[in-house]
Amino acid sequence: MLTLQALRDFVAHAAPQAAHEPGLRQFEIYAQSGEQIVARLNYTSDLPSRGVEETKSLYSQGLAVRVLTTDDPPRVGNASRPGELNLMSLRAALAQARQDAVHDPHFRSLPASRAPVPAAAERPGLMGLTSLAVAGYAWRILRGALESFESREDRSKPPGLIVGGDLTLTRDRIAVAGSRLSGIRSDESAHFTATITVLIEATGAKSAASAAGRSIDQLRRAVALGGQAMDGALRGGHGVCPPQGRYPVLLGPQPIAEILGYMVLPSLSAASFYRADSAYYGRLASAVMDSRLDLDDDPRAVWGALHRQISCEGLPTARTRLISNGKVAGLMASYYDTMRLRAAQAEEAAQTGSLAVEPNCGWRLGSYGGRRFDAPPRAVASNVRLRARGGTKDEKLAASLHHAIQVGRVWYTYPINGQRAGDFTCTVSGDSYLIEDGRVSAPIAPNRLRINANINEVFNAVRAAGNRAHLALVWGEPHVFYVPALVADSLSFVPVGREVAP
Amino acid sequence: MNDLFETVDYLKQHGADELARLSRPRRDTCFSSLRLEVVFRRAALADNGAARRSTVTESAGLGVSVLAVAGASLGFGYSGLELGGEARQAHKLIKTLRAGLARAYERARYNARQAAALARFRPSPTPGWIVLPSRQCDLPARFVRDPTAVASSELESLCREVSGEIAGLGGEIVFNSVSAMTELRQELLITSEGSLLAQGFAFTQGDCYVVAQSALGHDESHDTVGQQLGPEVLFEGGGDPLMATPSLRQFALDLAGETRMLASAPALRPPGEEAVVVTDPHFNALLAHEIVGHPSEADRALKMEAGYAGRSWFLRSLSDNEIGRPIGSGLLSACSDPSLPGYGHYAYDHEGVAGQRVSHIDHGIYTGFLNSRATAAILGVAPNGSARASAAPYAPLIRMSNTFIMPGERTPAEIIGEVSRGYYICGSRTPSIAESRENFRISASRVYEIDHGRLGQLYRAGSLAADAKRFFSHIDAVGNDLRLFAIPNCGKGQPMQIKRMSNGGPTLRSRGYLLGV
Repeated sequence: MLTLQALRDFVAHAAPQAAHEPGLRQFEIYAQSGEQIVARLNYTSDLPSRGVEETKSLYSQGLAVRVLTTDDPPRVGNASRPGELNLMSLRAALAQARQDAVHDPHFRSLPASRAPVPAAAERPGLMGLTSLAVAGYAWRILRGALESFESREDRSKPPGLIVGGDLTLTRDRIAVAGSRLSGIRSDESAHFTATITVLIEATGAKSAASAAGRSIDQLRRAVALGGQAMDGALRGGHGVCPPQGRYPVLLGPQPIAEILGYMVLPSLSAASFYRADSAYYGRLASAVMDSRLDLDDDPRAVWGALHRQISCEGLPTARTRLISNGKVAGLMASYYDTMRLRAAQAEEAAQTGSLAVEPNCGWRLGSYGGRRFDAPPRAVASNVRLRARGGTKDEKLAASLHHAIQVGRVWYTYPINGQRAGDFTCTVSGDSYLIEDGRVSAPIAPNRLRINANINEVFNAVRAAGNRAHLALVWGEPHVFYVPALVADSLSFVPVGREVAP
Repeated sequence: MNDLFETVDYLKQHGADELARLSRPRRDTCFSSLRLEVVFRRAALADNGAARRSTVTESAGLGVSVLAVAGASLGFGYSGLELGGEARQAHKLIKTLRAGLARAYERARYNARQAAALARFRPSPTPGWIVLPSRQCDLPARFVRDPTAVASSELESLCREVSGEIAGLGGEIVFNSVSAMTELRQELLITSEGSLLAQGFAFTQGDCYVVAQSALGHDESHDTVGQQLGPEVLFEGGGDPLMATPSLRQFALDLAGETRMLASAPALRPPGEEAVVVTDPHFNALLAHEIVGHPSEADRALKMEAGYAGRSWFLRSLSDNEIGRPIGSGLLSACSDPSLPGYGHYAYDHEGVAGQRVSHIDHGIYTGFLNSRATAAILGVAPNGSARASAAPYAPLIRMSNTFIMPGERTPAEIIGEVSRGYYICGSRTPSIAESRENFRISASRVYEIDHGRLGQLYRAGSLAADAKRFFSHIDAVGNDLRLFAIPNCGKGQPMQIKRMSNGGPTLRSRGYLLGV
C-alpha cells in the first residue's frame, strides 16, 4: 500500500494542476490505496476440506475527481483512474469528467470545509500485519474450535462437524483535496472482522461468534472465537421446534443488528426520504421506536471497530443521531444528499420538515466494505450503536418471560413488501432457545422457524432492553453494530414448511 | 502498448513463461493460473427526469492463484489487484505479475503446511485437484454496436428522457430512477497446464426503480433488463428469443405503469390454507435461482458456504443425498446451460474448464451439481466448468450460468383456465430462503385471483411460501413459455462477489401458501 504521505503528496501536487484547468468552477481530487486480506475457514469432519480454504487479497489503488464546470447552468462530472497516481492520470480523469459532465439541477456545489483537520494515524499493528499473519490467526481460531470439540462429552459418530467463516483484514488510506476544502485531508484505517460458524449436523446444532476491532490485542482475543462458537454448538443440539404462534421474544444482538441493517438503516438516509421509500416517511411527528431507544452512527467513535476521521468527501466525520427518544432525529447523508433534500424540503416533498441533515457519512465504499476510488460517495453507516435507557442486566431479561422464545441468530432478513412497508421475514438460524418460567430451557432447532413481522413489532413494542451493547456483524454489510438485546411483546413464528397466513 | 486491451495480447505471449518461472524452482507447486481482464464501461443514471451521473471507466484486473502441496495436503493462495495505465508498460506489468505470484505461492505453501499439521483433527483428507489437458480459445464479444464507441451523451440522454417520461405519467409517481450501462470485457486465463483461453464479453443493462403513491396505497418496483450484447438493445430491444427484451424506454414505462396500478390495488388478504398457485416465468426465474440454482452449487452442498449463505437440501452427506432420487413432479426438469446466449453465457470458466449444460433435475429426479475442479474431485465426477469470479482479482466460486426450469407443452392460458379457484403469481421481488433452501418465501409483484379459470382481482404485497420439495412435487402443469431474465446482482462469498447470470422458467402450476401484509 502507498503511504499516507505519498497520497498527501500526490493530491498536494495535483490540486494546483486542477486549479489551472480551464472551464472548472470547482474540483475535488480523491486518492486511495487499500487492501483486503481474507483467510476463509472451511473444516468439515466428514468431507474432505482444507481447514483454511484459502488466503486471498484484493489490492486497489487509484484516484477520482469530481468537477463542477463553468457552463451555464453548471454541469457536474465524475471520473476515476485505477493504478498509479500521477499527473497524466489526473489530467485524463479531469478531461473525462469534463467531457461526461451532466446538468444535475440539485448539484449546486462540491463539499466545502475550512476547518483544519489533523491527519489521522492508526496504531501500526493491523496496518503492518502480513497476510501470513492473518492466515496464522485463522488457523489458530480453527484449532481452538477443534480442541474445544475434542474435549466434548458426547462423542456421537459421525459428528458432521462444520467450522466455517473467515478472518478479514481491511485497511485503506485516502487523501482528499478540493477547491472548497482547506489544505490536504487524509485518513487511514485498519480493522478486522471475524465470524466463525460451527454446525454439528449429528445433533442439529448451530452457533456462531463474531469479533471486530482495530488493534492487535483485539485480534489476539479473537482467537477465542472458534472455541466460543463450538461451545455454543455443543450446548445447542437436539433442538425442538415450537408450534406456530405469536410468542414474546428475546432478540439477541445479532438479530437486532440484522433487522437494523436490512430494515431500519436503509430507511434512515436522506436519499430514502427523497425517494419516498423510507419506512419512516411521513412519520416524523410520531414515535417510530420505543421512547427509551436511541440509535446513532459514529464513524470516529473511540469504542468502534471502524475509525474514520475524514469522509470520502473530505469532510470531518461526526456522530449522527438517527433515533432519539424513539423519534427520527437525523438522517445519514452525503453532501449531495443534503443539497437534494434541501431542495425537496423547499418543495415540501421530502416529508422531513426541519430535520437537520448533515453530510457526516459520504463514503466511497466497494462491495467488500473498504474505501475505493471508483465508487461514488453515498451515505453508509459505520459504527452503529443502539442504546436503551433504563436497561436491565442481560441475565435478567428472560426472567419476566413465562413462555417465550430467545432468538440468538437469524438469516436472510429482507424487506418483503418493499422498504416503506417495514414488513420483513427471516429464519431463525441458530443460538436460539425456548424460555419457560423465566429460564432458558430447550434449544430451538436451527432453520426450522420463520419470523414474519414488521419493524414496529420489534422496536415499538419493547418490553425490556439489555443495559449492555454487544458487538454484532451482518454478513456482507460494511457496518459494525453495538446493540443490546431487546424483549419484544410478541412476534409471529411459523415452522418452516408449514406456513399458513397469520 | 497503447491501450489497456493490448495488455491481453501481451500476456498471451508472455504469461505462460511467468507461470513456468514460478513453478520451475518450486516443486511443491502443483497448479497455478493467471487471469487478466480489461473492462471498458460506460454508464448513466437519471432520476425524476434529471441527469445525475454519466461515467466512463477503463480498468484492468489481475488475479493469480497457486495450489501448493505439503505431504498429503494441498493449500490455496490467491492474490488479486487492479491495474491502471501502468499495465501498458510491459516491465511494470511483469513486475506486478511476479509479485502477485510470489504472494500467492507463499500463502499456498503456508496453508498446505498448516493443513498437514492439522492431520490429527482430520478424519477426511484435503480435497484433491483434477488435472485437465490444455485448451485454447480466442472468442470475441458479441455485439452490433461496440460499447466503446457509444457517445457519452447517448446513455445520459436516454436515461434522462425515459425518466422524464415516467415522471410525466401522473402525480402517483413520486420517484423514479433509470440507469443504463454498456460494457466490453476481455478476459484471459492462462494455466500451468498450458491452457490459454481468451474470451470477450459485451454486457448491456438497464435498470428502473419506481415509487408510486395513491390514496389507496403505495408500491415500490425495481427491475432489470440485460443482454450479452451491445448498446443497441437499450435503444431497439431484441436479443435471443429466449430472453428477448423491449427497449429500455418501453421496459421502464411498462414497469412504471404497473407500479401506478399496484399503488391503487388492495393488499393481498390471503386465505389461511394452502392454495392452487400458477406462477409466471418472471416469478419462476427467482424460484429457479434460489431453490434450484443455489442449492445445486457444489460448494454449498459440500458445506463450504455454511458460514455464509448456507447449505443445500440436495446433499446431507456423500452417502445420504438426493442424487438419483425424486424431489419433484415428473413434469419438473431444470438445468444450467452457459452455452445459451443469456446473461450467464460463457465458453470456459475461470479454472479453464469448458462450460457445459448441467442437468439438475430430470423429470423430477435430482441429477447433479454445478462444480469446480476441487468439488468435482470430492464428488467423484468430472468438472463441469462452473467456477467463476465476478472479476479477475477475486477467487472463483461456483456460480450459476443460465439456470432455469425447463419448458413443458401447455399454454399459460390452458394452465390458468383449468383452475377453479386459485392465484396467479406474477413477477418476483424479494426472496427469503431457509438455510438449506428447503423452504422459501418469495414476494411477487402482482397477485391475481383466479376464479373459474379467469383472472380476477389484482392484489399487491403478496408472497408465496412453500416447502421446496412439496412445491416441486405438486407441480401438475408446466408451460411452453420458457423465458430467461437477466439477474445482475447475485451476491456470494467473502468478500462478497456480485455476479451476473440468467435465470428463468416457464409458467408452473402447483400449491403453496400465500402471505400478505
